[in-house]
Amino acid sequence: MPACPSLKFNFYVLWKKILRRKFFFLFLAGFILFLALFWWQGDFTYARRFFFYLFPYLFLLLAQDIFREEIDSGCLENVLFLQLNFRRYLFEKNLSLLFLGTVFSCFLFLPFLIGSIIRQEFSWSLFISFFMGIMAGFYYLTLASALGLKLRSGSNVLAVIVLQVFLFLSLLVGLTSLGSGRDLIDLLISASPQNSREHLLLFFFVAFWPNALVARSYSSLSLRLEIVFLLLIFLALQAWRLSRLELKRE
Amino acid sequence: MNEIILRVRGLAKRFGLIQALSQVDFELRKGKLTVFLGENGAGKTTTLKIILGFLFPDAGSVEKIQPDVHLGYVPEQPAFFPWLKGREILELTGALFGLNRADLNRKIKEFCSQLSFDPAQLERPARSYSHGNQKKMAYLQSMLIDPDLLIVDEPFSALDPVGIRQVRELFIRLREMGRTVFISSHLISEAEKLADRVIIIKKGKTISQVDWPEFIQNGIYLKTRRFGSLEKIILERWPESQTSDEWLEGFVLRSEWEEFLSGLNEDLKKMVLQDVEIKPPDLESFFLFWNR
Repeated sequence: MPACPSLKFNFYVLWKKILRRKFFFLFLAGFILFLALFWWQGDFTYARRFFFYLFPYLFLLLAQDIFREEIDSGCLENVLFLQLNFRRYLFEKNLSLLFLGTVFSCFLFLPFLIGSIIRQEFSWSLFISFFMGIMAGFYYLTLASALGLKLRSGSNVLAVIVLQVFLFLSLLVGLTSLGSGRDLIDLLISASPQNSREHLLLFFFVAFWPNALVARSYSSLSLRLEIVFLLLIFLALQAWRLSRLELKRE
Repeated sequence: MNEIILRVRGLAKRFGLIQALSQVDFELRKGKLTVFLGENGAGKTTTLKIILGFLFPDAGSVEKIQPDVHLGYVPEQPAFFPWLKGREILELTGALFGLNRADLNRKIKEFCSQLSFDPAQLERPARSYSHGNQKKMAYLQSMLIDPDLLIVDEPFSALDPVGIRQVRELFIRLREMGRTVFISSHLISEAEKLADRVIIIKKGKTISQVDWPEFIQNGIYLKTRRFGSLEKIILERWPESQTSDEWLEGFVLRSEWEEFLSGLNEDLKKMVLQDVEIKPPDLESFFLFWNR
């Protein structure tokens, strides 16, 4: 029997769901406005830097309530999922969201790319930063999806943001109260650890704030591999949990 | 037509402390309408969900005898993606099951008319429909894919009398087309009008399975007061008979009953016929008999 590919189905359903999310588009509009304001004020470089550091959050927001709403509402107990495996459908949402997030990001990146060319600031490292941002975004996506198997109504996204706010507040407290605060700032800016303790600290920092990878100083292979490794762990965790998922309506 | 289309063997399923199913065995036969009866919590929906792959069994198996058998499903309370309009859901269903646009539109028109479903509603999100129309929408979706086996949980729930009649006619049409229908229902009067086969489940175990038209034709329902002289004789002859505080009752084959009577002397026979109430079997008595 001819059947439309499950990814196409997945993308269609997801796109319709995203279109309904006013908050996401509000955030997107706010983000564009924020970047445009910087650019307009004449600080193109800062606007571009903000873009690189912040666009991975688009992926995080896209992953809001990625699983539970559909699992709990009973809409997966449908004829559609007698043809498609609902477990596979849920897992493939990661790919659909990665695609969607990448498309949104490309649209946002394009003006900065053109701006950089016009201002003769173009370098291939822009693409590397963009690619690292996409990777950080995918990391957020897989993390939020893994959390989304348990947490409902956007609390998967909230959990990540709260954790990051907590991390940054802890860092702030650490920097102001510890004698070694200066060293810590240097380490986080230069990302060049001198000993195993600093290596570990940097690994933790990147695991909590993968956006750092867009910075040139964070181009070490071990940090990039760390994110890929964690991302694969989150995907494997999801695959394992989804393979045991049953539709018990609550 | 007695070809088996699906075989369920030894299903067991536990949810935490609750043993939902312990031993469910039955077969579905091609072209027959099978009614699955049981009290609330007997394990009907759990069984259906295991057949459909929405739940994993702890033990046992579901075997599709023909692997390419095409399933349709109407849940008790259908739910749809809240952000999709009825038409979008039907279009997705059509695309997944390989229907071209012209066939899809023709079928939508045909089944909307058969189920008295206003096609204008398809332009609204399916989640916003009334319960009855959500149920009709689920039927519509299942009928589009032309299922070999249609599984329906509580087929008449949320439907008005016109809808009930239309669904009944739909089942009859499906049966005439050689399709298999498996329904789990509480509405015994409706189920009785349709059943080719009846399966009773109690506390997670299938306890009785009969071919209903043959059962009606060849069986009788008998009932007598307990503690009379007949109790021991009947229980010896039909140990499956059930007793309540006051009554002894059972379903027996007419031929067995006649054979039993012919073996009695005239006095005993007269006494038996005086004390025993005999009537043709009906589904309600049959169901209640197994759920004493």
